[in-house]
Amino acid sequence: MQEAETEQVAATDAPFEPNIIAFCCNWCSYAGADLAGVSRMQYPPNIKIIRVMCSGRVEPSFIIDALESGVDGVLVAGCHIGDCHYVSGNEKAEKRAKMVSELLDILGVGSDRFRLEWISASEGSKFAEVMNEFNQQIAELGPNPLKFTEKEPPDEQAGSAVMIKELIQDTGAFDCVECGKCTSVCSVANNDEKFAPRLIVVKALEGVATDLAREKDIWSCTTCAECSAMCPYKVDYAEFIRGMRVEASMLGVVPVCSQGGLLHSTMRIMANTDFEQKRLGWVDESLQIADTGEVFYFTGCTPHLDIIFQDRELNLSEINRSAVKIMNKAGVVPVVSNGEKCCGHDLNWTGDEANVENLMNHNLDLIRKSGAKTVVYTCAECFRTFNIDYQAMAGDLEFRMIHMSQYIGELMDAGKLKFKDGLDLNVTYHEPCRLSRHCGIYDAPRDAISKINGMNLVEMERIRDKGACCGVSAWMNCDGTAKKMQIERMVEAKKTNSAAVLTACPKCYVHLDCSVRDEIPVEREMVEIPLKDFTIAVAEALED
Amino acid sequence: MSTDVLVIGGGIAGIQASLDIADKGGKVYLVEKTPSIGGRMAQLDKTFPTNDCSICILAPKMADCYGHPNIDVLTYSEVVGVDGEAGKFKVKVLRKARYVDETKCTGCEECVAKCPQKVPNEFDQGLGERKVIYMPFAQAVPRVVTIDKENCTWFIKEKCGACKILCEREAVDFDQKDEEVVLDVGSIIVAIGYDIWDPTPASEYGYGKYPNVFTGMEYERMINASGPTGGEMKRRSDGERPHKLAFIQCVGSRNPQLGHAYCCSVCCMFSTKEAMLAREHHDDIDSTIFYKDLRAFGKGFFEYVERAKNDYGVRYINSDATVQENPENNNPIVVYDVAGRPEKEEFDMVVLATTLVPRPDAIKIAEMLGIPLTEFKFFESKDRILAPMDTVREGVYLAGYCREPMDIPEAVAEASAAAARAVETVLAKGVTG
Repeated sequence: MQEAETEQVAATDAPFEPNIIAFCCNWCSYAGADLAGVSRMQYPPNIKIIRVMCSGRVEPSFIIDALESGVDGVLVAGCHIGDCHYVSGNEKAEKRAKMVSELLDILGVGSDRFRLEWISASEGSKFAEVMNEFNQQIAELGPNPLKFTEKEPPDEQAGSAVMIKELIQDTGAFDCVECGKCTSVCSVANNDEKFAPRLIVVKALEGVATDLAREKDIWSCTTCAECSAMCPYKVDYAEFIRGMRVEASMLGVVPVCSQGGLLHSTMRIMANTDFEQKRLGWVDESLQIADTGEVFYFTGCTPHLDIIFQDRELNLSEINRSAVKIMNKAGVVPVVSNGEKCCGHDLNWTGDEANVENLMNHNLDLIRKSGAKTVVYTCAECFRTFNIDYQAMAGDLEFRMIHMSQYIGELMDAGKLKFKDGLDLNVTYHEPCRLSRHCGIYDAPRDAISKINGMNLVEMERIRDKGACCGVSAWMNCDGTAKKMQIERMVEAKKTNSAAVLTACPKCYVHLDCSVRDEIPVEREMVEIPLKDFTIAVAEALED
Repeated sequence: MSTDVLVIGGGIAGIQASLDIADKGGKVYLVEKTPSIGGRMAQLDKTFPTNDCSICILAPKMADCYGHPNIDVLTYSEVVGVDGEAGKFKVKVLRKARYVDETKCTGCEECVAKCPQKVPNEFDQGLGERKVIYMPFAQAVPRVVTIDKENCTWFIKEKCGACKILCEREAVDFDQKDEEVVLDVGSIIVAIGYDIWDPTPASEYGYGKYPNVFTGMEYERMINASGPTGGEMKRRSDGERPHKLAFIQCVGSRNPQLGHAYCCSVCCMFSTKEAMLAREHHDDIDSTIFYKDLRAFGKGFFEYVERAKNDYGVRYINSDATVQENPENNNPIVVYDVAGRPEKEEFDMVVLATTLVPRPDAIKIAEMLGIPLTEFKFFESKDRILAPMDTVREGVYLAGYCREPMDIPEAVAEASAAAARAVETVLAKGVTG
């Protein structure tokens, strides 16, 4: 792929020759290409074939990554359905292709730059035909508008003692008395026998700086801040880790991300383009939204997640629908914008500050243009990013930022929400770290739950500043350790004997839901408790 | 002009200051809020670094103090107002009705035996019970009983009155009223001591949630021969004697997050003492102390810790810790840090060295006296280095833990220093004024 990239840059005045990558399965399509070749069939030379063992091997991130890197079109070719040498690899490819197409559409890149074809070993002519056709199609579309930016060369100064010293000062790490209380509460350390969180800070304090930025441990932390909540000296470990990751990424260290980095790619695409997105597919006629107004509802990435995890049928957009429904019931018509982009949370926590700034500028501009005085969030991560990170970068923001749980509380206090009678529901509440420990909001969701007639809150064992982590943050630490943490949490939730466990962050929902889908190391009944988003639960309790 | 001195607080510092002044011939009013003088030292089992029996060395001083011709001990009383200036303070003292005539009661405690109503005993940190008419503790001074009005059925629904019927000396007087007296004094010593921080908010230690997690003071009362268990260590969950003890230090102290950034200055030593005492009680008890830093800085303190390690088998682990529980046997599980990795160990009982905090009364008293408090609500000295006993107000002096964290010998030394300063003031004012 590296060669393809450099060639593309060379094209200037000459007529546009698309740069296309074709992932061909070893058994059918690659053989088909071979046949086309020995049969001397003509097809454009600007199609580069990458042989894969199966079309099912082509992860969505390969396709998005190719496009993000400036390739004009991507084609995936495999055996016809039923012919797969691995039985069902191509079926998998088909599902993934659907997902990729939808994702490209919602991002505004357009699914016509991607194509899936079944080409058997005997279909040399079909191969040439498809290639010609696809080349023609891409030539008509023109060059890939995704600006391919050269990766900056590694900054060897990054992670140096001077920079780390600054980080140590800013996060209060100097105050560490090495008491080890952080270790005793760290959920990761309790489940991963190699992770020693305190030593990361100790190493920084002892000046083992450049090595530190290259260590795996800085990516293992979930930045849930359970340690900081316990730390007698309030050392901001989460911020320390984030700072270390910024240093690491300047050194050229790339973390291992879940979904092959697909989510981060989509965020980078949003950060660097101005496509007409299609993110409002979830808005139906029953909902009233506006282009300008007092209240801006920042919806977050739920539509993207619904597409990416479509096989899990999460229906996270229901959170958005519920939020608008609640606001409408209270007589509020929120601004919901198709121009909204990712808040940049996950990029921020993987050390990519430049793209966060791009996204911030875009989002702030959008909100300012809407004339909104209040911005409401249903995602704890968006809430934290605006409240803490945007304000750290752009200074104090002139609009009010509140989480949906706080907003619901306000609407309730103003008597604008009416709830059903005869509800009798025990629920428990899973604390999102971004909302609770990062932003200090512990009571708003609890108060709202307890104010709903017939809805009772049953607390879990580990709550508030000791609330256990959902295991994954910034799509990065999804591994066996995360799974253990998640199962532990679900078992804890089940012990409350509640009808549901509510979360106030779609990410907690995604991660906890994921953990109990496949095989689990405990009895199934120990984790059998429905997960529900807080906003959806409130909307369901509303009077019709 | 008055050459008398008022001492607020009847703990070891207040007692020492009073005795010093009285022995020099000065007149002292010692005002104590509770029914007996003695303070926190009376609650302790032993004192470090000599392992002396605490009450055994304190009780003679208490008796001396109460019996001293120059000391007027006003127990169950509170200072409610201060006017004037050095040499001529007018101090309003509220003498709370104890519903027992102090002059008639002999302390025979027959009424106590007959009183039907029981409430948790604050002197035993709520571990044991006391009657509603009660002697605060065995060695209480004055030896006079007091009726706890809040819980007495006579005051709630005018029933019972057994104590009154029983008392041959007719000392019980339900009609007694609170009384306000005004004292003329030349200087004032504030020695109101400390409170024990309730570790419930630091839920990571599990106090209040797990039955076998105790505070240091609870443990002191438990191992005290005159305590609620007669000196037996008993687990709250099953009453069994523990064999494996964990002591966690700095619970709440050195913790700006919880508002106590200061070192309580005694928990390294008292935990060591408590661990030694455990072994003295039963030689099959193993103790482990979890510490942030071992601040055994006083004379003989380091040797004391070495003794604990070598002669008493106390294990020291350099880590703060959090507590979980084994639900099967209610054994606390201590999670701590070894080279950055969490380790877990099960114990039979956990004792938390909770921090010591200024009394909530300090704010009111500071306001009354017009003296400032430090950020942690200890009384502020005029100069922390060169005039530690003085306050910004002439004639008002400080002694003991209410000024800053310290141990018993330091509090005693400060009491003597404050006494000297107080006497200097009254003498100077008496001569010139």
